[in-house]
Amino acid sequence: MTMTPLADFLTALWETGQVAVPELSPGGKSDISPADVTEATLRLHCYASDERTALPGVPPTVDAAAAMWGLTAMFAACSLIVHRQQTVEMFASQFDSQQLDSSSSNVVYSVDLALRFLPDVHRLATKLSESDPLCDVLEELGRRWPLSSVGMSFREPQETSAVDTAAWWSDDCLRQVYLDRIIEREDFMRLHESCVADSLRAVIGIHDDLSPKISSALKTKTVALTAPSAD
Amino acid sequence: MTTTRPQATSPITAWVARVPLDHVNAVVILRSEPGLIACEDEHHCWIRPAVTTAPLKDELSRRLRLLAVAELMHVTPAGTVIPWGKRVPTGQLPAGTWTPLTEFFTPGAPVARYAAQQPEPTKLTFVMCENMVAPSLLRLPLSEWRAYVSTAPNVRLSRWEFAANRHGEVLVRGTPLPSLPGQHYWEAEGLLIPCGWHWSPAVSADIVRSVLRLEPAVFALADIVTSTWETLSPDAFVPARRQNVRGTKIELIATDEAAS
Repeated sequence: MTMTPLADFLTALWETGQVAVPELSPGGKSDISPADVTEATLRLHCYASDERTALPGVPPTVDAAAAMWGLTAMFAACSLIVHRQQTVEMFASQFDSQQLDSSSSNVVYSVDLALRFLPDVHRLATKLSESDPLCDVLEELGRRWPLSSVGMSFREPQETSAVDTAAWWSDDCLRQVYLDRIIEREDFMRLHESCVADSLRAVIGIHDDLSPKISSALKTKTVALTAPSAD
Repeated sequence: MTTTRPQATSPITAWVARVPLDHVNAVVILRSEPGLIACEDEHHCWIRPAVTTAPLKDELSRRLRLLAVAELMHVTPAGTVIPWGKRVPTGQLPAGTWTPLTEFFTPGAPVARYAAQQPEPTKLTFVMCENMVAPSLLRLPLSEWRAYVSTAPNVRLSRWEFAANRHGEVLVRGTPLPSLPGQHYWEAEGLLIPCGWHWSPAVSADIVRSVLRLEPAVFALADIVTSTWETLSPDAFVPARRQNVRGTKIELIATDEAAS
């Protein structure tokens, strides 16, 4: 085990996607040293700085606490996937994000620095066992952080109200990132939000070939909404 | 009255062919036939073997018959001529001088058909055209391009590449083009022409490329005002990613051009 497992996990996550996670002690706190947290925070800022020029509009600023929470949550989730003897209950505090303001653009963006890999982690978890309590935890995270969970296959249909983007919808950067991800990952479930559907129609315009599947889904939704009721 | 009818017991083997002077050039094909002589009178050219009694060979007979204008005749020892297959003489051999056929026709140099000097080369110009061609390039100021790309969706950005010049302009390539004001161009084999214009003469794009001596994959941007072309190397175009657009600085382009 390295001296900075969390920081190394972050680097592997961003640069190769091939991560190595140690077996954690209950709570996971004792496995992460203050130096590791400092190093991981520094690297989070570096990655955020590197991607600023690639983000649309004016990107939000990094909230260090939120970014660190996202990173430790992903760290624990990956550890739970690999080390099956660990239980979700051992890391309940790692996944608890109630103290974070999910309506803040800065927080949403900062959490997303690590949580953007949530759909991949969820896919791995469901592949191992769909009844794994970890899947429930990951889906709950996905509902609370919709920007990061685009492309995630929820086992139960996601209610429109379960995904709340209204709080940061006015942020040009996050909104465009959200729309780009929906198109890229062809997440049709997000089209239930009318503001999302309208924005995607504006993005695609008359050029259906830009995203044939999304375009088709948008047209189907329009027909469904405008069709006369049976009454 | 004596006649010169050919006798069945002594068949006449001598022969002669005559061709109206109007068609005498048709006889030239016999020039390579050895042993033939020719004579000319007022209306005809006469051809016969130098050895008077030489029989008409089948091959030569075939070639003579191919001359539709040739009239084949028997020749009696007295010099009278009898149409082939007939018995009544119709005239005499001409009294003129017989010369070998190879000398009768003297080959001459053909009349020159091409001018000695090359014509002046045609200059490529631009003319307005009525053909509808979908634009695939847009020229606009870098500042406007940068502002647009800042919030443009990735799905559209992925369709484009762009090149910038030191005058603060960019050329965006790809479809569908962004809905921004600017100069639209259409493309043919790497030739980039303002919409509504075409090169003249209307030769193929390949020919224009060869006239401009363009290397493969090099682009040529037309300037209709000066009727000139500006070349762009293929690596002048870079993907239209936000970081590429934001990193494009006019000062850097000028420095790069000065260095190269």
